[in-house]
Amino acid sequence: MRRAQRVGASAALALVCSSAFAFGYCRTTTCDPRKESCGPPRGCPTRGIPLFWPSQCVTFSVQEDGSRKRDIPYVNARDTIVEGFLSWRDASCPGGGTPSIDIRIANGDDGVSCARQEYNQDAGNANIWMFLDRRWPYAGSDETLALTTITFNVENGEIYDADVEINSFDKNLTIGNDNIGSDLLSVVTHEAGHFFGLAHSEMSEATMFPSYNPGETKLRTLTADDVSGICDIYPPERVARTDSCVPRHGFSRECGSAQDEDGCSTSPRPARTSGVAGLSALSALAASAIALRLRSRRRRPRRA
Amino acid sequence: MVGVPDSGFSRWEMVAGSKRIVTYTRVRVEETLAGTPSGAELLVRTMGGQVGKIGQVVHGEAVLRPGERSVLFVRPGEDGRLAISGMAQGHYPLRADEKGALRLAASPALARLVQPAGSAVARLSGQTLSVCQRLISEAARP
Repeated sequence: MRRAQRVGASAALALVCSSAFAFGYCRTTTCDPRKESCGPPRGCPTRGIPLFWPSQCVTFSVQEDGSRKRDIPYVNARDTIVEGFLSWRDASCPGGGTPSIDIRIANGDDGVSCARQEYNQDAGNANIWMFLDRRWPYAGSDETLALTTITFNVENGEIYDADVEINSFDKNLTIGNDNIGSDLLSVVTHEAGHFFGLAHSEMSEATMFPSYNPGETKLRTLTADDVSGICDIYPPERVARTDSCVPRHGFSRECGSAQDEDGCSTSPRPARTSGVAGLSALSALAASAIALRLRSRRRRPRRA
Repeated sequence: MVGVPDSGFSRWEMVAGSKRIVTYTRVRVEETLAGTPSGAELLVRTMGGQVGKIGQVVHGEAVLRPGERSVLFVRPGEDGRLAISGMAQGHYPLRADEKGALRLAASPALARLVQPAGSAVARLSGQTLSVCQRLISEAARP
């Protein structure tokens, strides 16, 4: 069905542009190929519910250390990740407007202490971007630049949590435009696509195409295929299910186990307020360039 | 090895210090290309899966589809559980070409990776099973 929609969208665009254009983006769906056929062996899944963040905005956080091994301090890491997110948030959708998803950063000045992929069903979460400096624990995968894990509701496709692990142990990650190794901005822009619900694209020039060669920076810039993908998930006219930007079960800068050690039981409990404070503080950081960048969104035709 | 994934099950488990959903898949070993097999059937763990109403997808992890004959590179993880080496980079479904010859395909879940010309993915994808066997034998030779 999704394929049919995309073909339809493609046809409409072709009419407008008077030129044929094929899309290759794929959306991650709830379909589990380990249990059932999700579609053709190659290509997008044609079964399952496409994943999406149900809110009008989503909060993420960055590990407080940045990457010491790659000499990327927290502030630089944070700014690079924000820049990657902004490429998606500020994309110009084919029909006008921008994707109906906004982003917030939690504890923007300090980052979070938790540097583990995890989804806490009974405690706060943080949607963490983390650098694995000490080891890359996945057997034989030292060529992998980063891993994004998405946790979702299998019944409705709502994304609960997203964490991104970056392989700073093996990879010569660099920021900026000089002596580029594995370009962090390229990596995070690709992973941000996963964060929002996109899978890999079949278009070789797309940011979401699963290939990268050291020294390249072209993945920093979204292609029309990538833009069509993000606008498919979050159409400008979408009415979000909730206005809340807070991570599921509240925000916490600590890992789940540390939250328990604070004296809380493992039973469901109210969201910690530190994250809300963090977000409020961020809103008040008029002097913070990062906050300004996050808030300086172009006017949309309609806000969800 | 050449193997055929069969049934599996998913559960929450600690992997490298993180609590994740993982899926254990029984893989029937048809042929060992290198290394020492531990039996005619292996239990291979991959990250991601679904438990109850919660699902997890790990972009770049191998996804073993039941009945899909594949060349698999497996190795024990830090906790001794068998995993696909290099995640999707160690998973090559076998597909018949127009002449009926089985060729290795890159995993549909292939991760973002640096892909120099000499990488396993670049060298093995598109090769026939017999060429794959030769390449692996050469690589495994001391």
